[in-house]
Order: sequence, then C-alpha cells, then structure tokens
Amino acid sequence: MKILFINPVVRMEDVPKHVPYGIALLAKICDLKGYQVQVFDANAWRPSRADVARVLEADRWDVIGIGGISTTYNYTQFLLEEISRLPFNPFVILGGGIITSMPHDIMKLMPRLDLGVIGEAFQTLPEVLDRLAHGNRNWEDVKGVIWRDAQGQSHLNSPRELMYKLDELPYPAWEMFPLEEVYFPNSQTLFSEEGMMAQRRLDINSSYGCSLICRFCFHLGLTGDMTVYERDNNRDVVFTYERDIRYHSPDYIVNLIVYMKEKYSIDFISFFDENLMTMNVATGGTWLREICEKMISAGLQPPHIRESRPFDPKRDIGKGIHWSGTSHASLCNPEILNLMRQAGCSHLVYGLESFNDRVLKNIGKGTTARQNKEAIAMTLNNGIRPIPNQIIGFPDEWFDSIYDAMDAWDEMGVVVKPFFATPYPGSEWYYTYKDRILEQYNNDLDAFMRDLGDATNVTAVISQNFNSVELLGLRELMVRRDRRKIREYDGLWAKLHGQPKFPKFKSAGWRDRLEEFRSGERLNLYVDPIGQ
Amino acid sequence: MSFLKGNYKLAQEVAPSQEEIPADKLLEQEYYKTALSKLGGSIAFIMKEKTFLWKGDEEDAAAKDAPS
Ligand code: B12
Repeated sequence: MKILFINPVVRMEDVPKHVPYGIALLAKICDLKGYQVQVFDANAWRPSRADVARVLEADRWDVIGIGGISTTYNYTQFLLEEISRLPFNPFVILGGGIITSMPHDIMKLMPRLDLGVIGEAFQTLPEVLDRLAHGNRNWEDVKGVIWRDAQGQSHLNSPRELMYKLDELPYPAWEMFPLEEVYFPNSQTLFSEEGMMAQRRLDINSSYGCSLICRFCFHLGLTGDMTVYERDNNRDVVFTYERDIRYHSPDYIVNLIVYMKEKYSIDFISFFDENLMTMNVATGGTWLREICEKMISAGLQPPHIRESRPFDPKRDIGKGIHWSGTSHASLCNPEILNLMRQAGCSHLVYGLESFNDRVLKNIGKGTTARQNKEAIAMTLNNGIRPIPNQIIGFPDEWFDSIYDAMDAWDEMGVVVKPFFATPYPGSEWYYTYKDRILEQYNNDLDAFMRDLGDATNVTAVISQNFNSVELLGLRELMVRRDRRKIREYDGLWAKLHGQPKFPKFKSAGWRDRLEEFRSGERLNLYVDPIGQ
Repeated sequence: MSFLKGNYKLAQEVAPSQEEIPADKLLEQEYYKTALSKLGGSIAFIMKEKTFLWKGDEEDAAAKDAPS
C-alpha cells in the first residue's frame, strides 16, 4: 500500500523552520509497518500550484494523509481541491488539531475527506491503514476516528486511549524531510545569541500536556483534555481541564539527542513541549534534572559554558548542543534554571501574557504579575534569555491592564509587540464565544477558519471592552509607550461606554458544554470532573 | 532535489520546476520583498502587476453607448 503524507503550508510570512514532528513520527511508524511511504513537505518547499499537481500525480497513492494545526485550513482546502482533480481515488485522511478541535464541522467543510483521526494517531492510524490494506472499510469500531457513511453523514467514534509507553515510539523519520535543502539553512531563530548562530537545528517533542488551564489554549486532544459525549445519537468532542501528563524518559530523550548529533551533526534543539516545567513539577523535580545531567555526562555541554566564558561565535559555533524550550513563571526555580543553563539552554519561552492580576486570574494562567517579573529576573540571572510573550485583547482587558503592561515592560526591559487574544478552535474561549465569533464572520465558519493565522493579526475579537480597531490602535500606542494618547482615549472611552465589563470565568466555557452533553453517555476512559 | 522523500524509489522523481523568471523579474521580486519588510513612512511602492491603469473615460463612454 502506498501512502503519501502531506505537510500543509503554515505561517506563510516566515521561512519554514520546523519539521512537523507528528507527521515525521507517523511516517516512521508506517515505514516500520512495511508500507510504502513518501512525504511531501509542502510547507518546506512552498511549491507552485502546478508543482503540487505534479507531486500528486507522481504515483497512484492508496492513501493520502494530511495533518496540521487549525491555521493550515486554507492550504488543506486547496490540497483537497487538487486531490479531487486526480484521475484516481486515494483514501484521504486528515489528522491533528485542525480536525480534533471540530470533527463534525471539518467533515462538513471538507467533503473530499474520507476519514479524520481525532487526537493521538500513533495507534489509530496503523489500525486504519491495516483495515484499508485488507479491503475493510468498516470504521464503526475503530476508536479515535470520524468517518463518513454512504450518505456522506459523519460519525464520531469513541476516543482512542492515549499511549503511555511513549519510549516505544521510534525516532522521527527526519530522513524523509528536506533537512539539507530547507531546514538546516533556516536553523537560526532570533530568540538568543546562540539561537541566532545555530547552523543545524532540529526539534524534539519530549512530553505531552500542561497542567494549567489557560482558556485560550488547546492541547490537541493529546493530554487527557478531550472527552466524547453522546446524547440522542449525537456525539461530539468536549475539551475539559482534565490532564493526563505524559513524558519520554530522560534516557530516551538524551539517547535521541546523541543520535541526532551523530547522524545529523546538529548544534541546536528546540523543545516543542507545551511546558517543560509542568513535567518537572509532576515528577517532583527529577525529570528536567535528569535530562540536564545526562546531557552533560553525554558530552553535549557547550564548551564555553563548561569553561565559564561568554559564547564566542568564532570559537563556539557548532560545538556542543544549545537548546531552548518553554517555561512557566510560577513553576520554575533558580536551581533548575541554573542546571538547564549548564546543560546548554539558551532561551526559554514564557507565556507571561499580561501583567495584570485580574487578567491573569481569568485566563487561568496560575501566575501573578509579581511572579512574572520574578521569573524574568531569575531566568536572566541564570544566564538564560526569557522570551516574554504578551497578549492583549483578553475578555476583561481594559485600560488598567494596558497601563500595567507598559509599566512592567519599562521596569523589566521587555521589548515586545503583543499577540491578540485569539479564540482558536479547541480552546475554552472558542466555545464560550462561539456565537460572537461567528457573528463577526456573518455566521460563516469557513470565513473564520480562513482568517485564522498568526495571532499577530486581529481576527475574531473576544474582548468585552474593546473592538478590533481599538485593539490595533492601542497595541501601536503601547509599543510606542504613548501613555498620553492612551490616557486621552481612556477619557473618551469612559464618556462613551461608562463602566468596563469584567466577566468572571470560573469554568464556564467547557462546563456549560459538558452539561449540555452530560445527560448522555460519556464515552471516555477518564474520570468525569463534575462527578468527582 | 526532489519534492518527495520516502522509503522507496519513485518511477520518476518530481523536482521543483525551474521557474523561468527573467533576471529583471528576479530583481523586482527581491525589491518587493526587501521593501515590504521595511514598509512604512517613505518606504512605499507599487506592485506593477496589480496596477490599475486609468484609461481616461473610455469605459464610461462605452457604458453610455451600450443599449440598456
Ligand atoms: C511546532 C508548532 C508550531 C509550528 C508549525 C507546526 C508544524 N509544522 O508542526 C509553528 C511555529 C509554525 C506554529 C505556529 C503556531 N502555532 Co503551533 N505549535 C507547535 C507545537 C509547539 C508542536 C507541534 C508538535 O509537533 N507536537 C508534537 C506532535 C507529536 O504532535 P502533532 O504534530 O500534533 O501530531 C499528532 C496529532 O496531532 C496527529 N497528527 C498530526 N498530523 C497528522 C497527520 C495525519 C495524516 C494524521 C493521521 C494525524 C496527524 O497525530 C500526531 C501523533 O499523535 C505545538 C505544541 C505542542 N507541543 O504540541 C503548538 C500548537 C500546535 N500551536 C498552536 C498555535 C495556537 C499556534 C499559533 C496560532 C500561535 C500564534 N499565536 O501565532 C501559530 C500559527 C501560525 C500560523 N500563521 O499559522 C496550538 C494549536 C492550535 C490549533 N487550534 O490547532 C498548539 C497546540 C500550542 C498550544 N497549546 O496552544 N506552531
């Protein structure tokens, strides 16, 4: 059986920087199962329409598997159009966040799709392929899929159990991606001096999940966050605050790094993990410590760190491994940060989001403005660059949180142009504000999906106090620290609107939706959080 | 260079087609890219292909003449 995996184009405005880790793992799994596999990394190549058509005709594929995040919607629609033109009829599968967050909607919006893999695909995809290889197209008892009946109606099955023995996963099929042609030349990332000097960077996803409940975030159904409910024969996914945190063992990770160094001569690794600190806290502080210690004893420590001298591009490029990851302001501590630096960490991304305690509480971030500031200082003191991500336009954003942000930026030396709060499908706020979101797109879900991209642009506004024009203007003035103009507008706003609205989020979004389905049967292995 | 990488050899490789972009077009594209990254204030430009060329009142006149 011949399988073609396609990685759709994502973040067109930047050069391709990341091998799609999920597809690379799935391609390797299929390879090991003995299938004939090809990968078309459209995101890496950014090909013309004519070239896409040539690739699709390069063989008689039995299966085409596409996957990605919600913002690949446009390109996936384009690919499906091209696939529809083929003189043969491959079985088309879609996986990843794009379909996991809204399975029925996507099946409706993408009529060429035959089947969707919901959540984790490591076990589901091989089962689907095995059936196809045996000419069996009965999907009723395959967990973790959405499929179409002869009338075109979509049916969502029970969820697939998550895989716990993660170390049984093979290493990703990096050899099926254009590393030398595309990815290594784009190794540099502008997050730190060492990142900027990287020559051969690859990424690793070493854990799944995050213990926190940020209401704008989504975990792709990979972290115990997803349940499926049934009521009146109507099944749908519901995302909750439940978490099933999983991680590779430090041995698996460090062995993988050594393999990457030997096989691909890499000098930099970006850890894709949602939140490295969550895993560390969940293991009582042992997980990251062991990874760092094992990296050092495997001889991966960059020499300038070992010799306690600054990074010198003339001597140090390509020596040892530098790396980056994600942290969390209330979960990090000086000891672990120090050890991470010793093991080569150059920068850590912090979703600080805001410097206002009301806003932080309503996001569900589990931090305070003070912790944000302390984390910046602690990280810098340990020789690691903290990347201070900021977002504006939260439901309870108001002038007070805008002033707080500018004050903190000045105090801490933060240089940033914030993202706009965006209700990506799968996040709690997507469901809380669904009506309002769709209203902004004339009730056209397709139009909303097509508009989604980088959150540096305004799409659907979920702020209760500001509209898109105000948010864009305020961001511009914040970046310039033009407090005078903001204050002037603050006065005008008060005359126009009176008091601001501060919605309180206890757990409304998913809980309401869960209640909606609760009368039905819960088709899930996890504990019912309301029933607890 | 091949668009497809996998675990078996295809009957025919699919390489990126050599787009025949004339030298002046290449330079033009480079110019658009660089100028776009600096867009703002005095850095402004016109995309030639997108330019709407005003041809006097021809169309208006033609519209008037057309039978309704
Ligand atoms: C790498 C990454 C990116 C890369 C690109 C993705 C790529 N080429 O892989 C870049 C940097 C471009 C990116 C950008 C953004 N990202 Co991002 N990104 C990630 C990240 C860090 C890792 C993804 C990953 O490899 N995971 C590990 C692998 C194993 O999982 P996976 O790829 O999802 O694959 C599994 C399944 O999903 C499924 N699957 C995936 N593909 C396929 C294909 C087939 C055929 C099948 C059957 C199954 C399948 O099976 C796999 C195994 O179970 C995740 C966080 C995370 N740790 O997951 C966020 C994440 C995916 N990103 C997210 C977001 C919000 C964004 C941004 C919108 C952020 C922003 N504020 O701008 C931008 C979008 C920019 C744009 N203009 O489109 C969200 C999800 C959004 C959504 N609704 O889908 C995540 C989950 C982060 C979060 N928690 O909020 N991102």
